[in-house]
Amino acid sequence: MRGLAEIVRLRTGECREAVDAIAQIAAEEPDVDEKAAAHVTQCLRCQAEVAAYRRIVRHLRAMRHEGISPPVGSLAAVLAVLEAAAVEQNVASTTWVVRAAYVGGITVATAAAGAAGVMVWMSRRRLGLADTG
Amino acid sequence: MVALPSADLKSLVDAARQGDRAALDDLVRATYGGTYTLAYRLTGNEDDARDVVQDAYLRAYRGLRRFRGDSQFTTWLYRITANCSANLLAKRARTRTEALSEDDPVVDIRPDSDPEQRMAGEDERARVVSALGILPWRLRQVIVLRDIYDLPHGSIASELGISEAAAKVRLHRARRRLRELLAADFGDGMGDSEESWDARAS
Ligand SMILES: [Zn+2]
Repeated sequence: MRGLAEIVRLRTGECREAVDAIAQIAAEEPDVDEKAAAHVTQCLRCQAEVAAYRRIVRHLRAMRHEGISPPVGSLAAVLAVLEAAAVEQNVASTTWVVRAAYVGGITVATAAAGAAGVMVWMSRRRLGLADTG
Repeated sequence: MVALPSADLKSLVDAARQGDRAALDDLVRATYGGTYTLAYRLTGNEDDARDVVQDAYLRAYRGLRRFRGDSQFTTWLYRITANCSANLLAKRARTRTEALSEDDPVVDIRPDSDPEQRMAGEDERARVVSALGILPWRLRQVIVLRDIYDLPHGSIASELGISEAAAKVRLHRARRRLRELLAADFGDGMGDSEESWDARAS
């Protein structure tokens, strides 16, 4: 197999420097290096390389629409995993509800005292702000 | 694979986000073929593709509430798939003592490992597919995501966990390697042999 170095062996240094730009031009991408792009417009070898790379790009893009058949049973496995995750999530939220109900009594009992505490703290804070302001 | 119009897909996504289990299953069925194909192209084998797809759907399911309806659902799913694939392959590379770097020689892990021999008799498309299959995985990923799936550089970078500049550098390197692998099939520029170039040059 010939390496890339060998492919471009007969080309000028400018051709070698344009290798990345050639692929970008073939893929119709923006931000191509200006110096390299200018060289390509003047160089028949590089233009031919753009054409060759364009064929490769065309094949790659066409692969976007070619599906690979998944192995039998793999879809079912994914659906089962999601089912298990859903059950797990339901169990977790049910557990939370049960816990909330259990803790609820204590929460309600302490809420009044808590609220009173907050009000005391807030009024103190207000006083403090008034003093400094 | 069921190919759904995007409006139908959107209503499935909306229903699934509301907790509709049947809609979620339909959503998975409708997108499964595409997601598996991407996972296979990224990982290059069936077992890894299955793991990646499973992981991706689980993460998509858990993050469905965070999915912003203004972006395409499949694009969002593909980004998750790319991320899961990168994680799996990176983890595997770390556990392997002789982890291959991007610059190590291409090694074909499949039987009949002479690429040129295997490519003989295949058509042009099949040769591109083969060449892609024997690229080191870090290089293959950027080609798949950029040149096949048309993901923006920024998305590729964030899913692969690298900077955008690094993603671009990696893409250049990947394209060079791919071109190198296809040198025998796609000629060296003008479709002439090197001998004729020599003759012309002298
Ligand atoms: Zn040139």
